[in-house]
Amino acid sequence: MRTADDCSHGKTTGLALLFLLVGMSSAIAQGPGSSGGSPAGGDMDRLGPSEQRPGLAGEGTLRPSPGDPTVRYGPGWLAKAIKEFDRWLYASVEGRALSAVREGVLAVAVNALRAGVPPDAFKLRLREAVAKKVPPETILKAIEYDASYWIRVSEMIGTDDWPPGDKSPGFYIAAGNALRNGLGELAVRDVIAWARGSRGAPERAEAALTTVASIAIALRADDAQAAVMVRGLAGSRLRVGEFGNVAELAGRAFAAGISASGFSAKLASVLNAGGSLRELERQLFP
Amino acid sequence: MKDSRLDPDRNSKAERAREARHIAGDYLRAADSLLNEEAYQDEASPSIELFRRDPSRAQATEDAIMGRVRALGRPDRPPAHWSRGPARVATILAAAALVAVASSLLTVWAIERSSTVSVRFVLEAPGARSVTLAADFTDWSPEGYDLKQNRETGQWEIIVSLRKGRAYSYNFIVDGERWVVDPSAPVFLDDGLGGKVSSISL
Repeated sequence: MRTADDCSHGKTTGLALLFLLVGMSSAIAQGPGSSGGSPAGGDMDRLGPSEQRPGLAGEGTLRPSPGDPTVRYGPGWLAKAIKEFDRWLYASVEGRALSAVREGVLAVAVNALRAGVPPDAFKLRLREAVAKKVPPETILKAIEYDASYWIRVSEMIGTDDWPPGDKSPGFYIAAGNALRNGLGELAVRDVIAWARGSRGAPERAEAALTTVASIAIALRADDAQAAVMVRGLAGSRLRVGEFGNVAELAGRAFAAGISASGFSAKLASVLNAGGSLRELERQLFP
Repeated sequence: MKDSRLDPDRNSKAERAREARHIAGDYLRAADSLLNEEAYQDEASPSIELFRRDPSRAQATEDAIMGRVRALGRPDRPPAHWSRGPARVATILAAAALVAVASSLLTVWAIERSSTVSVRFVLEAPGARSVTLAADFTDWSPEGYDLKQNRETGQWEIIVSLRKGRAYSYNFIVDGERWVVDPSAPVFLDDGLGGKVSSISL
């Protein structure tokens, strides 16, 4: 059990470690002999006052990764996000349950936040993991995997303002889950492109990714087939509430011996033409 | 039928009042004589005798009542300017604002209602002592999401109101320990934590 003093000491140590980590990773990112400027314009004059904290370890090193969070979320976001996550990790029930691996989780999170991953994605995932009473060491490993997927998702999103800030944690989690379950990056890229082009709701994109990830497992679909299905589903006239029915049809298709390529081709031909679920069913099971 | 003695064009107010009293007296006297005749015809109904009225006493009672009413004076009325001017405008504006707020609230409620759906989560778990629901929409906390066992079917169930247009991840927790997927859900995925998670799109 930790006392208040212990916590305060631990927090100071954590903060020092976090700024040291940020400093190190930033130095690595800049490479030897770098003058400190970044292609995305991440110079010190672009950073908010909270990021220019004198006297701390790693002073002046809270520079954003090229083309990432400060461009997407504005200057000052990174330092604020790190500080907020650090505070949550020490104050929350989940953080206390993870005391054994807290510094490791913080290091993973700082690295991901630098790439523009929203801190709430970590919070939601850690809540799930702690609620499921997963051992802390397993949680740390799981969160490392998740963070690697989320960083890839962040790279795919780039500097676009989609998904909107308050919706983005859900999209990161859904995309990360889909990638972990074997969905190829092509499908995620395609759904992001669809959402950008049509200003589609992030929730619809999330539902399409989750459904197709499940279908792809059932039908053993490859990346290209999964991408066709995601595009078809997200851009279709179907309600999100009907996506589950498409997954059921996929299950029936598998039982009837229809291949992944056959299913994805029928799905695309019907849904891309504005067809209904019933039409898809008729096409699959004439 | 209207009595010609009460013609407002012909008499003054005082005259009309006097005439009204006379008319009332005439009616009472006529009624009394009628009652007297009936009482004589039916000797077996003595109670009617109790209601026989003396016209002069009735007149006195009427005068006394009217006197008291007149003594009360005119009822208080708000000053005439209250019904006009800024106060009236303010009252009308306040009423209009109230109507606007009420209709907005009604619209918001209707939209809110149309964008949510009641979902019945069901699990067949024979022998389970308790079943709870934990989901992304509960922040993965099972608190307050206890399933009740249906006595007829034996199934565990709970109805939750959720927003339409998105997918939700969830698990059932059997006996507070075992996290299981919903076998009736068409979509489930590896949760990356050593288990599986169900998904429902609404």
